[in-house]
Amino acid sequence: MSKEPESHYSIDKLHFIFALAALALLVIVGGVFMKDYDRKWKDYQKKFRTYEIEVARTTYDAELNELNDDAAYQELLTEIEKAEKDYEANCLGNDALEQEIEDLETQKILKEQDLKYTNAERDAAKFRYENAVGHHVGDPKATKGEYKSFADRAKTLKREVEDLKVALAAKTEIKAKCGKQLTELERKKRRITSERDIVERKLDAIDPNQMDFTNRVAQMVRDLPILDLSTPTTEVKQIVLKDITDDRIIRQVPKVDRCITCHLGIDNPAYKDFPQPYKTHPNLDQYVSNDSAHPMEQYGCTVCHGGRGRATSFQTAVHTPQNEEQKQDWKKKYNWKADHHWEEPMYPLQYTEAGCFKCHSGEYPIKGAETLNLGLQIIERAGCYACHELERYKDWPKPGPDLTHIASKLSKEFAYKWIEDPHFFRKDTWMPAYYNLANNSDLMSMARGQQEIHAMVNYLFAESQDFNLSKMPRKANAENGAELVASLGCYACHQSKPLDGDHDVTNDDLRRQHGPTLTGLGTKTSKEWVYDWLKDPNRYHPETRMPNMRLSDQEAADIAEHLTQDTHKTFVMKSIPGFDEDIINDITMEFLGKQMPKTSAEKKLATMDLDQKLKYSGEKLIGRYGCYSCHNIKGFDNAKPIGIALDEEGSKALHKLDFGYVHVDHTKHGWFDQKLKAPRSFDNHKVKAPGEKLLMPNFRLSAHEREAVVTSILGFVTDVTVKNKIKPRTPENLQLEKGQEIIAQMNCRSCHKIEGEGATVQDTIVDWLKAYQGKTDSEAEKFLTSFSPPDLHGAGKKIDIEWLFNFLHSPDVEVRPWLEARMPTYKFNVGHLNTLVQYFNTLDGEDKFPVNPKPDVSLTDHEYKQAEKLFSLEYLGCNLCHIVGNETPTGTQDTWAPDLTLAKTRLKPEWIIEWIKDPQALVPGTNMPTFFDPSDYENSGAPDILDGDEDEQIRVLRNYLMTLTPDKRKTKVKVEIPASDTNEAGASEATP
Amino acid sequence: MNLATHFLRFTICLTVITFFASSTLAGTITGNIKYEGKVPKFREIKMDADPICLTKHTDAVFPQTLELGEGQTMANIFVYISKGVPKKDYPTPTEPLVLDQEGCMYAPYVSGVMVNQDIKVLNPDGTLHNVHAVPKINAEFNIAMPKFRKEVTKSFDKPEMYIPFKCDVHPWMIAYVSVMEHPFFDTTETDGNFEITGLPAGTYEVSAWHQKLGTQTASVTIAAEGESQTADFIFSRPQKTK
Repeated sequence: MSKEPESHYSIDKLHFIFALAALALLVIVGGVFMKDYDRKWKDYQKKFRTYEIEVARTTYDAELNELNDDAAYQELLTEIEKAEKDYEANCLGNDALEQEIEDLETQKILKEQDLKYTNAERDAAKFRYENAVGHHVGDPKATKGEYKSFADRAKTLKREVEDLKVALAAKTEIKAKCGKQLTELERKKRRITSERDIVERKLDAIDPNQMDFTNRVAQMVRDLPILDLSTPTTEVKQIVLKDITDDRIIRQVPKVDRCITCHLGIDNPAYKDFPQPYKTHPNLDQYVSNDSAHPMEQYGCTVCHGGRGRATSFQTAVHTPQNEEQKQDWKKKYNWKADHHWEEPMYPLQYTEAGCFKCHSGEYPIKGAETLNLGLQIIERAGCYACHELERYKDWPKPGPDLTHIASKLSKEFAYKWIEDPHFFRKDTWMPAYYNLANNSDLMSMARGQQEIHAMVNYLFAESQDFNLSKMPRKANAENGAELVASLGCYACHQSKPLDGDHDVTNDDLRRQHGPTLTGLGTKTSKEWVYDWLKDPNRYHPETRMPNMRLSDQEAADIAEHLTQDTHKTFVMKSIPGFDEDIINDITMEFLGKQMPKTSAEKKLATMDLDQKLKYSGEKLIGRYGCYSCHNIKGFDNAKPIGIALDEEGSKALHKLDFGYVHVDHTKHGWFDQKLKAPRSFDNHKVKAPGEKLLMPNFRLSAHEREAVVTSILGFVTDVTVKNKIKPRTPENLQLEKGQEIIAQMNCRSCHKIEGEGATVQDTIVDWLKAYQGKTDSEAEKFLTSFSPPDLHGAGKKIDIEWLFNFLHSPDVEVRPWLEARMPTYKFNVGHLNTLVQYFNTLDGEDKFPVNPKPDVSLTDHEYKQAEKLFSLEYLGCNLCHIVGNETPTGTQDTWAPDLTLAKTRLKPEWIIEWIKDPQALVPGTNMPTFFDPSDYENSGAPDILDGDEDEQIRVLRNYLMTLTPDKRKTKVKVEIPASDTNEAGASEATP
Repeated sequence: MNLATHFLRFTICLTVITFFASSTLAGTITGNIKYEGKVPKFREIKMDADPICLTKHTDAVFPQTLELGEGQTMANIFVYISKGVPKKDYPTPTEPLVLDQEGCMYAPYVSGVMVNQDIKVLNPDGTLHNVHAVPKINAEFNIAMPKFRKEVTKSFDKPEMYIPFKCDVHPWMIAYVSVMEHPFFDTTETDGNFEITGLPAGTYEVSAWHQKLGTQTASVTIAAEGESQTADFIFSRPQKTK
């Protein structure tokens, strides 16, 4: 027994400990493997596999059912069956035929051989016979007989071979035919069942029940740990984008989105009713699918939705809940926690459209992004851009009225009460509330607020310039005014009463709220002022977007009379607190104290009387609150806007937003929503002097409106990662965007349908037809198009450039004199006019080179007469509907059509041809009938005019229209080239 | 002609009829449609816009909205099988539907055709008409019919109910044409009667449509082949809600 080496510790014990440690390590390593192997996304993929099988099976069954119901398919099956039987009977296993063919073949070969030999023998005999005759060698008689017998035999053999060939051909044909029909039928069948077969193959590949044993085992082995390195059934799926990047600060790396690892059904419409994460994308027409505008393979997911694209778990992808309920739900289901470390968390569902703005920031409206557009339109109406710089609105006019002549419009009392609570006077005004908000509604602040308002009103009125109101006709008829307001189209931009508060505001609603709602005007101002305003809005407010309606004095007076009849009684009864000189002193001292040492300030204050103090502090307060951002106010011509710029607000870091002591979600959207809901609430529980308080006023937006505005703000980001995907900045695209901007700014879409959107005025035209024209609902609906401003679809193709320019500048040409709605005169400058004209032409692809010469519109005398005939009632009867200068059509006004004497200057000659040929193709649904039916064009013209040549008829008709002028239908006709003579000459030559 | 020939003819007719009836074994649904309530007065159509139209009429012309027979039976009700018709390809009639515009009024006011069946529109008036069909599913067309064009033939390739036909020159003109997938429909005359024949056994939903008074339905079961069933409808104006 060997002696154990001497040691200070027990070896056995050590072995035991080592063994234990090794075991523990093994368990830990195993655990690490297990942990790493066990990923939630694998469970999703496995679950999806079962759904996939389910879907494939339903599709398969549906296809099968459809095939069973398909009479043609069933017929085909019976045909195949018959063909198969036929095949079996006549071809398959029919050895007799094979044998027969073989026999015939052999016989043929033997006979052919025999024939060859016989031919040789015959030739030899022939030689012998010739030799006997010619050289007298041998017996001619015998050799002749020999030759003849061989020749006869050869003939017989030849016939026999031919017979055999025919017989063989017949049999081979039977053999060839066999199966040919069957193959053809089988091919037909495969074509019909191809969809079913695809699904079937898919099922074979994925459904374990449909696999053979080896496959099933292989499937299992593929997914085992470590082995799953090669080709597992579950794997991380990803989209790698080369031209969209992830910003890694130091450099841009290609974007990688792994969302489809779990969102497996995103591009497949079959999963639209499945639970998340398998559900189909709700808008495959626009996104994800290959033929949409934003295919998944080119755009990925996070570029629009935000979130961490490389993540493969619910938590790390930075999903953001849309509300408290969902948040709690997620906490339970996914153990979700807010992740503040990822700077671009996913947009909550309701704000998703924020992602559109980074690429589409120049468009008005951004097509398909309803919420985002609503938000942008609210920003336009509320005039957010006036205090907060926004690149998109950098040239937009101030949203509020000019206050330089305020004394001619309002009383001091009205101005006080208005500033104190604008929404009390008009529920839906865009003027926001500055007082009685979270940080100034305590008693002290309220008392101070009252004096602040006094000071500002005093400043405005003290600085107000003289303004002479023009003289108004003595008599005015309010009733007529009411009708004018309803018929002229005023309600395209103004409402007669605030919108119903119950329904969520829409983009169309906002177009109808372009100008203020026309309530309480009798309380607000005088009818003289309204009259003056209506006659020329630009005189009072040079920057106003209110156009000139070209009203006659009487019309303007009637409307003014009508509008000022509405008063606001409770508003009138509101009392105004008196001046409190102590507080006014405090306010004045506050501002003086900023300019000079306290002692000098006190000295200065003592020298000022009440009016001076009011005016001084009023000016300072207007500067503080930034009233001049929205209104033109004397003394603030070059003042800078007071808000922060919002162009990058959406990408602002969360920690830069001061949540103060307000309990809202610590998210960007949470902060923005709170800021809009109660803008001053972030001052709560803070100790602040009056001058340090938050200033943003309250616009009293509804939850729905706030959601839209927050969507827009979240979209205001700078994002270099998408620079390759932005619409190319070509001159055409810029031209279009510039036009769209003016159209949005001037609210053209309120009356006209442009790019398929707008014409909101139509609702009010229906109202007018019913109220003033005695039409029933259905009649009003029917007459609507005839009495609505025109749809501008295809205007660029149609309207002459110069005419359009002049018309937009001064639209007093009556194209459609029966329309009551009036195209107003806008104060467009030359730049605007050119932008608009170019916009319409670019939109229709009309600005492309090469420029073609204007078509020849001359007519020979003969052609002229023919055209006149065509135009007349006997033929096309154009003037049955069209106005021709002073001649109006006999029908009722709803059947009237534009004045044809304008065609010469207004329309593009090429367009007239297209239009007469097929009006429905240019403006679907137009009342203009198709005279030359495109489906039977060759026979559509009058047979007795210009030899029934349709092209010629249309051409002369167009040229005839170009001769019409307002006073006379006929202008000069080109010197005639007698067409009839040449015809006669030709005819006489032909006849001998 | 003696009595015997008459008798012979009658017998032959009877045999033929019985033969057909037994060979097709088809069910029939008939019915009558009445109007209940006060008959509203309609405003006379003023055709002053087009003197040619004016000369075509000696009496006042009224809209065809409510055309009643004796006992307030209703004409121009479109009756059709709306549910239960077996799906298959029914042959398209080669005979076109004739839509006349005589006297600047469409006739018939309400009618039906099958998919791809021709609709022949006539213009005997000698004035300009335009046949403006405003379907929602099919392609819209608006074909002018000047004096020299006496007829135009059109058809629809998709089923669609109650396509309005307008004329923009004469805004009072209106007709409704339904495009059906099957031949089981009928329009009532002033006697209010309709008959839908050739139905196999089954349970059907019969719908009766009036342009203003809406659609009424009834469920009818044809138990055995060759059976005849009835379905009557009564239309009235809805009570005005105040």
